[in-house]
Amino acid sequence: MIRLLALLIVLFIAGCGGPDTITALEKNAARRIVSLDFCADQYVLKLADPADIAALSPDATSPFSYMREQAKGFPRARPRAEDILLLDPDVVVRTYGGGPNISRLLERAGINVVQIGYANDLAAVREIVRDAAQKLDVAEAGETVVAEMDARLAALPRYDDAPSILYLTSKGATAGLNTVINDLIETSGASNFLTRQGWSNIPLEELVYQRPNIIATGFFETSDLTSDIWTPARHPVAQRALAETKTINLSGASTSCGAWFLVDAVEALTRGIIGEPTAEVSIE
Amino acid sequence: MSDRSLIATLMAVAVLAVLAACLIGSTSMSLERFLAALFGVGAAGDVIVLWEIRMPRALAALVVGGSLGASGAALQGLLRNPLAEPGVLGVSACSALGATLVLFYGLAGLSSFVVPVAAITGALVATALLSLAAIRTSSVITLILVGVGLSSFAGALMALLLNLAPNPFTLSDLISWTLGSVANKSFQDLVLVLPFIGAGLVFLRIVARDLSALTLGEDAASGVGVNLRRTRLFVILGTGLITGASVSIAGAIGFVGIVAPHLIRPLVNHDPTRTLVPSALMGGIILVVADIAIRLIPTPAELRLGVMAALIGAPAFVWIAMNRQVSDG
Repeated sequence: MIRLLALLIVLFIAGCGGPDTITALEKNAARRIVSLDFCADQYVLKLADPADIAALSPDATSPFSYMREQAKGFPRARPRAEDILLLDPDVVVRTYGGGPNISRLLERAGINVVQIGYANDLAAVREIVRDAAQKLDVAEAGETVVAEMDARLAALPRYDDAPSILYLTSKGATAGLNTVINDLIETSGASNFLTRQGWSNIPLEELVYQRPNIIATGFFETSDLTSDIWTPARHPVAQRALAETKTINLSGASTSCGAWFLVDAVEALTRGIIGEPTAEVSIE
Repeated sequence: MSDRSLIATLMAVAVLAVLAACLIGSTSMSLERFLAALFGVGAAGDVIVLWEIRMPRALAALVVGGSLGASGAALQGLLRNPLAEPGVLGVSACSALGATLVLFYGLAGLSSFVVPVAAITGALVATALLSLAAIRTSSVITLILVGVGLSSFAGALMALLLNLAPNPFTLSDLISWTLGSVANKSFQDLVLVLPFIGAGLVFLRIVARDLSALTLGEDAASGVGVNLRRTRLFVILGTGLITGASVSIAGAIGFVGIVAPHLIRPLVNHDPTRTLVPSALMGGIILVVADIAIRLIPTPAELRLGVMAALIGAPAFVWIAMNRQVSDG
């Protein structure tokens, strides 16, 4: 009887300790990283070991996600606290996903939350890449990404006569000074057609009197009537400007987040300026 | 004031309002350049700015306001209630839902007429449901509540559609459908809907006289030879066509249909027939002036026309509701 009792006690203790031991073993085997929005997805996919990725955000494979191909095959989770907690992550990466309060909640549950900053120019992108890499314990990978960025920027072809460029999205938004797009235009060696600050709607009346040398278009490849029926980019004056001005198409994915792939947009601008062929642009 | 001089005065004010709206824009234009461009003899740029950017926008505001004013006056005549209006009764919301549905299912690319036809169908469904409800109940309050229910239901379905849309950027379009705007409208947009608005106005014109007889009550109106079924059908068709057409170019703009007839009624001896045309003109003037106001108010982003209309119209709605005689309900 005493033997039986002793056996039961041993089994009970083993039963209590068992799952903990297994979890600890799993955690040692790999970290579990979850990202909460598609901009965070880009950083996680670029910097982290794929084996560590427990889940990405629902938009990771959307057309405006730069790393959409690499994102295929990973589980997706909605950026809601309870969904995330159920995944038992060690690290959660976010830019804006889950809203402002989710970080505090997840940190209370002992999760390490990596907040990726907002980049308004390429200099800030370098800092953010390094910072994110450091927080994800992959500082070297971050340095490699920054070095690649710098090498590509240094290799940009030079040209004379800086053209003026107007950046126009399919929703009719245009980028003025102090925007990330302005930095891309200036890095490419061109000048921004707009001299006002920040983002504003397409200046239809100004376009009648004065045209930029080039219109750089953004998100036109993912534009459709469902999301863009109200856009001022459909106005006949805008359509005429698009038809009569040289255009350079910047893929929406390359400009949708403040990240290393903004260099793609700079390269596209430079290639377009020196006359290498770029994709045709149209909005029906 | 006779009807003729009232209509002439309102027309003159409408023309002045449209011209004033054409004077204002993001680039400044002197009066001389404006007049030259107006007659097509100015600099090419001025002519384009005036005739392709400013004039279509002003005329869109006039046409949409006019449609809503006429719809409001006709619905108020039919339902014998000064609070009946396409926005309040959910006609505009159902119309916007119709447009959003065809956009969601990708049918809008088939033809330019798909969106206006869908918006008109949505409006016709709403007006038909309301008139069915009006036959079943004599209480105008019940009818307004049915309209509020329709409006909320259509709004929820629209939000659902846009929630399910694969692209998160689609949400910004919901704002345009629900808050309304005539910014960046072109003559192409206007030409597309004018036939529908014209047809709607013809329907209303045919039964306009019956609306006066209806003020005596349905039995008395039947007694003096009014074909009630035809009157109801034509008002439904007419208001559905013009409200749907206006929603398809400017989204759902509320309260113009209440305020415009309310201002006109005392001037025409509260006769619903005589209210129709002046209400349309007044509705047009209100929206053109409201559209001038949103361009002059120095907000970081331009206000939506529907917001301005609601800021003026919603308090007017409450005021009219509070001043109604209890026996009406």
